[in-house]
Amino acid sequence: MHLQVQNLQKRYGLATVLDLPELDIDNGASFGLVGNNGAGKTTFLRLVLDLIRPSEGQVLINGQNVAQDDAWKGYTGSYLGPGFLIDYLMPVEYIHFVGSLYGMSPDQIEKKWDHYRPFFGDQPLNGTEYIRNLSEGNKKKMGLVAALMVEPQLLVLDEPFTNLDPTSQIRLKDMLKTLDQTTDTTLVISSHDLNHITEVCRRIAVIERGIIVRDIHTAPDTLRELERYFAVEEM
Amino acid sequence: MLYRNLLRHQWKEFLRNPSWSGISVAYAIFLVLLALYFLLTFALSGAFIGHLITSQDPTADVVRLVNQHLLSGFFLLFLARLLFQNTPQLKIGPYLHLPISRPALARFFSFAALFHLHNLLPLAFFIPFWIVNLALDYPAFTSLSWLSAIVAVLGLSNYLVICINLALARRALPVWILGGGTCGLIALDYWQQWGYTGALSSAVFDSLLGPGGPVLALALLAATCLLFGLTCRLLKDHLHDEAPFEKVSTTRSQSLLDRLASLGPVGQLMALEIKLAIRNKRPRQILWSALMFVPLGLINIMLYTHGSSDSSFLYYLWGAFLTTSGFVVNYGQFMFGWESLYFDGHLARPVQFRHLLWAKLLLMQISCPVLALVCLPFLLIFAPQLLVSYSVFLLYNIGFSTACMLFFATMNRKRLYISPSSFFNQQGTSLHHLLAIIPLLALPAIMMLATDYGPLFLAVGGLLCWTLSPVWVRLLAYRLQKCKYRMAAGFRGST
Repeated sequence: MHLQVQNLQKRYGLATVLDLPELDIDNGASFGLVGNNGAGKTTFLRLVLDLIRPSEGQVLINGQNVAQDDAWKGYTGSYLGPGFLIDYLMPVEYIHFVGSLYGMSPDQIEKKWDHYRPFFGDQPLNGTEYIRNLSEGNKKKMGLVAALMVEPQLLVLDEPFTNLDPTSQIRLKDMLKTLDQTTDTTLVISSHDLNHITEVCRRIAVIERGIIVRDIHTAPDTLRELERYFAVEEM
Repeated sequence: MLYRNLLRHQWKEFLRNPSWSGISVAYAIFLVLLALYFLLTFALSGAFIGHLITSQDPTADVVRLVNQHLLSGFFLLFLARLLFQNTPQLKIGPYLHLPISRPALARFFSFAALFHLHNLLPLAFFIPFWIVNLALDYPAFTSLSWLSAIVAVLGLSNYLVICINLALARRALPVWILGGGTCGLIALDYWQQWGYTGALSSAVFDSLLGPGGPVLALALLAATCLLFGLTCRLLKDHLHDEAPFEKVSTTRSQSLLDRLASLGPVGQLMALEIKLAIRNKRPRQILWSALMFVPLGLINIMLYTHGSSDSSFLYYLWGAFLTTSGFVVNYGQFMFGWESLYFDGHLARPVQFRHLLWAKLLLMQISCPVLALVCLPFLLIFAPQLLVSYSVFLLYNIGFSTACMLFFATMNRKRLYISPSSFFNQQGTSLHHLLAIIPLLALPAIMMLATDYGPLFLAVGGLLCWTLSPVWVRLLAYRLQKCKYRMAAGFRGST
């Protein structure tokens, strides 16, 4: 999926929280967005998913404006937070609900569920409790699995590593890397974790106060460069 | 010092309760006026009920007449408490890690549970009643015994419900069967005019006016204190509880919902809405109150059949409308708001608004004949002559009320927290929720009063609206597309 941003602005009152004159993310790219709290990462992802209306400009997926054409939803997997989870469903019910929205058959959904079960470690998740009773980490995993299992051509994730245990972080990193290397899926991921994001994404943008201040292709010294950028003098 | 701090926290909790957040100033003023109205109604009823009774029957003994109905009144209050009253466990949670003795916490929160509307509203009736009818006419000791007994019974009922909820948290069915059965027996007793309940009530409360009154009042107060002690103990024992294990739905209802979900996207969204309604406390309680509209409507119909005054038309209108519109009015107007916590997920995924609207509209349309079937036997027994006009309102509700309420539902912009109790919970409620019922009632009223063919117009209009359902869905889908950003922003809690 080719993602294009044209003259995109989001303003709340007089404050401009996002200002991206131009951004192109090629088909099959893995694009990471890093920045401090309030930099505009989630706002950007919400605009990509047409969850908020841009003050100006547009987001195009394969040349179609996301706000005017819903076709992109059929091949986009996303998880931006608990607002995507239906917490009174059981995990299996939720997976079936999301899968069926993407036209997957119950058999396909079951196979995908079996495929992603190891991500939950030895947690039973055998349909005896609702999502709202899962731990924060397992809730996050539910959202991530729901986004991944639909075989998206565009995957949009906000802070996917937060709240996950170390094993799950490594598993998720491997899953995303495999997805990036073996498919044409375009990854758009925001994260505070510089280690993981530099390992997963081949292109990284640094966002600060709504503006992309650096746009770099990942190289062996990218992590150090980012650490230097975000390091602040001792208080 | 400890109790003073805890008391201060309770007061702040009340003032800063999320129930008050997200409501407009106009709606807040309306709520305050409504609360004052209720308080005044209770107080004035208490003060003047004696006058009303003696104006009908000058020889009546007001106190004894009221005593006759106290038992059934307290029983109904007890059932309402069972349905809505929470145990104080959750309030204690934030204090458990602090160096405060747990028995002290249990004592404070058990005592604080007394200051609940369930207790305060009845007192708003009983205190003026006591002042006007007992304090002046009976010896001080006797009248104080009566008032003490009333306070004690309210306390007993308060602590009994907490004890039942603590001890039988997940085994509520036997309590409900017993409560429902007793309620049925009391209703039968009243209907058949056997008078057993009244006799028992009189026996207990009239004896408070006799020489043994103070002893009985003291015994009731002692029983309340004992139950308070038991509540403290149970509460203390339940502070170590893990988060209660939530039982998932039974396989039978589950398979029915799965079958519904297999019917396609609309069926799937209907199944999702049903799960939402039955698996979350607030919408579940709203569903119960929708069912309570049935007896309320039937009472109005009976008042109409027995009435001859000008107000009987209102009884008829209200009754015929309410009996089948409980779900539409109570639950339907909050639709979309119920889903506010995951509305972003719907927007980011291939969920078509058309399907979402059909699912909601069909659920509301189906609810009307289902509720009609529930009250059909009662209608056939008590007011068979109203069957035709009752069916007219059924058609009106299926066709018009559902579409109209779905339109109002698209005006919802506030996040609704669906886990807390719905009792006195105004969180996420707007003025339009109260105003929505006006056009639904005004239209049939105008039609019925303006022409003799009113019922015919209503029935044909209802049918026509029903056949036009696809048009409403298309129009509302267009509207949703337009206002989805504002809805999502409101549901997210941002602007």
